[in-house]
Amino acid sequence: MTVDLTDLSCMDGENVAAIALQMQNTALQAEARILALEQLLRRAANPYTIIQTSTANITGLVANLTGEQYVGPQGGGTFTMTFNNTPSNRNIDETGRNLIGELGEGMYEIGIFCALQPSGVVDDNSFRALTIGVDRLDPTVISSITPSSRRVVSSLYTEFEANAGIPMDMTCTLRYRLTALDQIKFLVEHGNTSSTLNALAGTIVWLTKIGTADSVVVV
Amino acid sequence: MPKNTDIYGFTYPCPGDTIDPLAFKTLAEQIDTKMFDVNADWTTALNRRNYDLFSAQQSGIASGVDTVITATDSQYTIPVAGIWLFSIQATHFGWATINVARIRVRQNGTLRCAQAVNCENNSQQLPHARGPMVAAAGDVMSTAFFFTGTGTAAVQVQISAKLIVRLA
Repeated sequence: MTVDLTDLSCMDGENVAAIALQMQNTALQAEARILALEQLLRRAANPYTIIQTSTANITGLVANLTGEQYVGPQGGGTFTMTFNNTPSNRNIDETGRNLIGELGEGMYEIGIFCALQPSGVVDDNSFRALTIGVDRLDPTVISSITPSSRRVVSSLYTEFEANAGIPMDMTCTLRYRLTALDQIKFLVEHGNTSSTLNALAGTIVWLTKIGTADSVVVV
Repeated sequence: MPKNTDIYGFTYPCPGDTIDPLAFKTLAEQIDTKMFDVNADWTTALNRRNYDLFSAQQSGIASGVDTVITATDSQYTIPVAGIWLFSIQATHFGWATINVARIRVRQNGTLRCAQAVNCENNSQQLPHARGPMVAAAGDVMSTAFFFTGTGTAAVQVQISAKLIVRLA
């Protein structure tokens, strides 16, 4: 027989001699049920979060580039994993498109902080644009060589060079429901044509899961 | 000899052991204690720590000087270890002219994130920085304001802090 609430088994009247075995069963059953509960609560209390920080400048960011110019780990900079409580060891913007597949679909906040500084001549009031883009793989395109994807959402922060002798510190964030087909990109564009820009060491990119896809709940 | 479960170490008797009321009490209390531990996660999930405050005004900030804001409610001491997500906005005024304004968010004096805004033509653009910190209990989150222009500036900072991961 079992008790109602926790489904733990207990002794019937005719087998009271098996107390030791029953206590072992009770201990193991309680452990199994609490472990399952604890894992669920830990996930809710501590959502998947990754923080990566660059330890060296990303150099040679050219002006008015046609195409994408990466400023996250995908940009070839040296990034350390500052914090990661997920089962994945991938960079947030890794091109494999499997990060969200590993972490599960859901609502995420993605963010980047970076300081952009000209390597040489400063063009006053030239623009700097920091973008977080999400590209979604098109599963209808059957090619392992050139998989097709399209931009499904982006967040753009634009600033203009103040030419005040300081780097332009910039922050950009995006909250979006990501799927296993999505790839995150941290991109920069600028109009400082007289010299390239550096993204200074200390760039931070982060990702944190806000809620699951089936039940979007802010925890 | 009594044995223990692999994960939580719940104690149960083996054949041949003397089973007295203490054995039942021990097992019951071990399960009870673990349930209280699990309850701490439940409490964290339901009552996530948040801090949202508008600081007092700090005046007399000179142009070209990265100035730590020390006005009342402008700094936050981390109460529990964890990953904290900060959003800081600086409202600035009082200057005669301004070219750029910047707010920096610092952890124990070390820069974590920042935002600089172009204020040419004396436009009052407000810098707003957001970023995460891996923080220990007792760490101090503070801000530093910088501007270039003429006159002196006054600043108030609006701080929003949220614990997103508990490190216990």
